[in-house]
Formats: sequence, structure tokens, C-alpha cells
Amino acid sequence: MVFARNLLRHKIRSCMTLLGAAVGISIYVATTAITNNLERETRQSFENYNTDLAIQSKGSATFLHSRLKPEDLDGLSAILGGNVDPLVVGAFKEEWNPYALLVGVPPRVITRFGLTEGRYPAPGSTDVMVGNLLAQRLGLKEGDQISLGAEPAKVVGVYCFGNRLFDGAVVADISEAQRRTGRPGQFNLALGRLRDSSSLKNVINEINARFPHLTALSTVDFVGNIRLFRTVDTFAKAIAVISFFGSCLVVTNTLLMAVSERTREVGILMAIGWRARLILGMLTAETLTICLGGALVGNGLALLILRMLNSSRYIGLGWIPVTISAEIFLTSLVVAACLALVSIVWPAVILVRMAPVDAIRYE
Amino acid sequence: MTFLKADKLWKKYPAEAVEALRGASISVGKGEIVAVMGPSGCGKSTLLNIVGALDLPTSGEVLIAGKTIREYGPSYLYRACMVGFIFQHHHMVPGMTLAENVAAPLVAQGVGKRERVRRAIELLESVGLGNRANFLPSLVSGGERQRAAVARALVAAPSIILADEPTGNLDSCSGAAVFRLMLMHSRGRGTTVVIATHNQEIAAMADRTLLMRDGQFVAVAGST
Repeated sequence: MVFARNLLRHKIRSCMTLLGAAVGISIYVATTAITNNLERETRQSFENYNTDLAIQSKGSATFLHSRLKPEDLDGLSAILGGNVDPLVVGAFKEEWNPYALLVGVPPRVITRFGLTEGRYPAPGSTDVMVGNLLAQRLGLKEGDQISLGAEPAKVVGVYCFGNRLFDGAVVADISEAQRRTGRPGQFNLALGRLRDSSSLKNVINEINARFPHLTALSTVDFVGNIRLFRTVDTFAKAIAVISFFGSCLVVTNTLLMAVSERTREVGILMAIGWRARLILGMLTAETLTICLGGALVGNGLALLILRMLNSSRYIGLGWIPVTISAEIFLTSLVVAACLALVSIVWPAVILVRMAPVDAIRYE
Repeated sequence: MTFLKADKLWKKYPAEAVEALRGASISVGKGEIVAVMGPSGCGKSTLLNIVGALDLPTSGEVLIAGKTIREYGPSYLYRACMVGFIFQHHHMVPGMTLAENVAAPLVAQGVGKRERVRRAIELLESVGLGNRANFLPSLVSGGERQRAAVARALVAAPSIILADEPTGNLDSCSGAAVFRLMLMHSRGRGTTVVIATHNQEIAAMADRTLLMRDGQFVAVAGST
């Protein structure tokens, strides 16, 4: 393996370049994992909640800012044949979590949160139950208290909803959530189910026509349209692009040094009949090895970053994934290959333009 | 029969305002071994570079077996199929073992790996380096590297070998040994050899010696 030997000839430089590629790829992997996780977890929450459409007040930046009145709910219930559930979502800045989520659900849907310990909060009570992720993090059990807004709440149960976002949250009866968020009688969202999912589009159109101050969307579109997610996604993509080109500069710089140092070697190979494409193939193999190695190390680094962020007290519980999906891993390999191919362009131009006689004489 | 014919070769380096060749002409027969002697800077290396298609003449033509170099196709193809180079410095690729270095011209010809290895090992054995085949150039002596360079020049069975001071970096004993090795192999195969050298003893072993001065051939120094 000539290309492997060439890499080992300059171990430190090869390692530094690999790390340069790894840093860029780790940023890409970590940011993509976070944004994908955010959307996936939210979508999964709706799926677990068994809803087809979500309704919020028009123009709300996020569903945390949305306000629905009881009369809206009555009107929606008439259209959806009673298959509509209100939801209250609030965020509190607590010492244990700067984005502590409180979810208020009506008694008839609270049982969708699978209980693992204790009991469900009684309707109208001030009790709460906590997700297993939160219980694990804070060591909470039935009977403990948790600080939540102006007054602490008594934990009566621990649930497992099946996604990290909700499993890091606090769930209360809807009236208690309205009280704690200071919005008595108001809801953030209305989640509807349809008996016949083929009528989804018609129902959405009807709701949007009859309630001009509301926006109804399918749950898939709802998640895709959450402005916060789109902002985070755009921001993450911008960071990923910048880090990609940063890594390109590192790898290109190394390749330029390699081509310059090996000018005579290139001249020898040209003298014995190697065409530039063949020499370029050898250089490409070296670059691909470095970049794919960088991808492997980068995925490891990304995992480390994610776990560090996840354990940080300044980031909301459940927002950060602690695993990397196979899809992101495979995409990172493709990104690494692209990194190699982009980085090699400039050195390739120099190599192709090299005159054999000058290359051999190069000191 | 003339195999190599260079006719009125001129080479001017505009940047340095130097005329390295000034109408140099040479004819070499098939299987003939010709030594080109002359002081440094007289144009010996430039002549070999042009004949080997590493460089282009400003004017003049090189014919190999009656065909111009261009007629052999792209210059890399001509170098891969027709020419074997031996340089003053062994010019081994440091990341390749001796066997890989020797086999490298066959890569350019598209020869399969198994065949490449077989031929490289065979040639390395014939130059006494069979036990060094898997050594990197940095791990063998200068003389061994130059013997490997001879093997590399011969491996693709070229029609012409161009040797630019091949023994210049070796002591007289090793230099003579390397040159004898090269002669033995090229005579056995009927390969034409043009060798640029300062060494009188080496030149004496050639069929013919040509003298160059100021980019021109000035005299025939001797012949067999």
C-alpha cells in the first residue's frame, strides 16, 4: 500500500490533517444530529400522541407563544367530532434545567404517558409527574418535590413517553399547567384526530376558513413549519458549511505541501511513463484515507460533544441526542469524500501542469 | 541501421537566455551503446531529456525507428513504452519498496499486478537484489539503489535507455559494476543506450563516444 506508506512518512502531519478534517466533520455531525433530533423527537411526540393535525394561533413564532381560547376549542370540536385535545406547553427557567418544559394535558389523554412508577396526577390537583429521563437525572421518585416556577410541585409519578424531549419534561393536569404558566383558560395547541385520514386536507381547509385567527396544519407540516426549528436548522447548516470549507483549507494546505515536497517524486513517476491521472489517483487515495479517517474520528468527537452538551446544566434536558444515527454517519462519510475531492482540486491543477523535466530538477 | 536520429536540435531557455543545444545532431544504431561526454552545462542532459520526451526542443526533430516522438502518441505513453531512464541520483520513489519501484513503469503500461511483481522480482534477482525486494530505498546502500534503478529502466523492455551520469554518485568500483550490469542487460536485449558521463572508464566501455561542447557535438572520441 504505497499511499499508506506515504501517509506514514509524515505521521504528525497526516495526524494533524486528519484531525483538521475530523473537527470539521464533528461539527457537521453534531449540528446535524441536534437539528434532526429536534424535528424527529417533536414529530415522534405527535405520533405517540396519535394526532393527525395541530392547530395554533396564527402568526405564533413557536407553539409556546400560541394562544387558543375555550371557544376555539368548542368550534374545533364541532368540526372534528369531539376528537380534539387541548395542550398547554410552558417553559420555565429552573436551576435544574434552563428550559424546563411543563406539559399540561387533559385527564382523558394523560394515560398516553406510560407510567413506570407512582400514579397519574389527579384532575384539578397541583401534582405533577416527571419523565424518566428527568427522574434519572435528578434522582426523583414518587413523593419528591421539584421546583417549577413560583412554587415547587409534588411528584406523584414517573412516566416514559418514548422520546427524549417529553421524557425530560414535567406533565401536569391541564388546569394546573394553565395556572403555573399564568394562562388560565388558555391553551397553546389543539391536537385533532380524524376517523378518515383521507379527509385531512379538507378538514384543514375548513378550519383555516372558519377560524381566520388560527392555523391548522398536518402534524408533519406543523413540525416542518416551526420557525424555531427552521432557524436552528439554517444556523446549523451555516456552521456546517463554514466548518466544511475550513477543513478544506486545512486539507488543501497539506496537499499543497505534499505536492511541493514530492515534486521530484512526481517528476520521476512522469519520467517512467506515469500520466498525471495515475499520480493524481495515488494522491486522491491518500486524501480519501485522511478524510475518511477524519470522518471516523469526527463521529467519535461529535459523540463526545453531544454527550458533553447533554450533560450540561445550561442546555435543556432531552434536546441533545446522545447517539448518532446510521444515516448521519453514512452522510458524514459522503461529506468526507466530498471534502477530499474539493481539497484536491488545487493541488491537482498544480500537478497536471507540472513539467516532468522541471519536476525532476526540483530541489 | 539508424535507430535514434536527432537532427539539428536547438534548445533555448528564454528565462535564462541560455542556448543549451545549438543544432546538435546525432545518429545511434539499434543496440548501439553510445557515451556522450563533455563539460558540465554542455547540453548532455538536455539532449537526453529531449530524446526521452521529458522536454521539448525549441527546434529540430528526434526520430526513433523512423518515427517522430509525436507519432508514438502522448509523451507519457512514449516514455512508458519506448524509454528507460537512469538518473545520476538513483531517483527511487521513497514510499515504494525496491520491487514496487522497479515495477512502476509497468503500472504505466497497465500490466497486471501479479505480472508486475513477477517481472520486478526477476530483474531484481538478476541485478543481485532479490533479497532486497521488499526494502524501502532508504534502507539500502547507494550502489544497491542504482542497481535497482537499472532494473527499473529495463523492466518494461524499452527500445532505448537514456542514462544521465548513472554512476556519478557512486565510487569508481560500484560505478563500474553498475555500468557493466547495465551493459550486460542491454546487450542481451539489443537495447540502444545513450549515456551521458564524465567518466572516461565508463565511456571506454561504450561502443562509441561522442564529445559535446556548447550545445553541439564536436568530435567522435572513439569507437569499437
